[in-house]
Amino acid sequence: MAVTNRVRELRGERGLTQEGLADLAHVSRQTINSIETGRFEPSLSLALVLARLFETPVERIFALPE
Amino acid sequence: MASVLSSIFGSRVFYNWRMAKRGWPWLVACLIAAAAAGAFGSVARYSGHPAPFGLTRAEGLAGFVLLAIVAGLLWWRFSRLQDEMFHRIQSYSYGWGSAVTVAVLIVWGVANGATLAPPIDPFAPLLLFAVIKAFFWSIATRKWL
Repeated sequence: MAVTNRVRELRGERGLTQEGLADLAHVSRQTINSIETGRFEPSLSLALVLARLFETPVERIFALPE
Repeated sequence: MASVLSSIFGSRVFYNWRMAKRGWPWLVACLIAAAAAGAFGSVARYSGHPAPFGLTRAEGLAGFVLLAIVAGLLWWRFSRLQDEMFHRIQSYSYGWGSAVTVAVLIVWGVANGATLAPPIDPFAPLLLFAVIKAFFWSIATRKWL
């Protein structure tokens, strides 16, 4: 079951580029791009890192489809 | 055929190495060690006289094993510095590469036992694994990158 995410939306709200977010999360830009396009589901630890960076609960970033 | 070649040699094949921002000196050292291991391996495999580089086959084999281990350790050091995308691609390609290599070797061994195939060259498993792993690596990069 594919996990949906709001990474692109939250990144845009904070005025971050993919490169900028990737640097903050210590991953590559392509990893952020793949997460945003739904090709790649991050590990729990990376999901929690993103949640911390966005100051948003992880379940508000990643969700299972209804 | 063209689509198969395109899928293998597409833009994302073999990883986008710009992603490997950290640890590239380890990668360069790994490639140098692997090339040196290959040179020693060619000595170990050479049966003519005189042997290349003035080494015996035993010395060639010892050098090959030692440098292959060094190359493996350098690759491990390099890969530890990469992100989880790299690790997922690596796990996928090494897992499938190992499984398919073992399957091919079992079939080859059985065919050899039935005198349907020639004996397995001692270096064939390494070459097979390298080729099969590279194939699955290219599939993984297309899947996730």
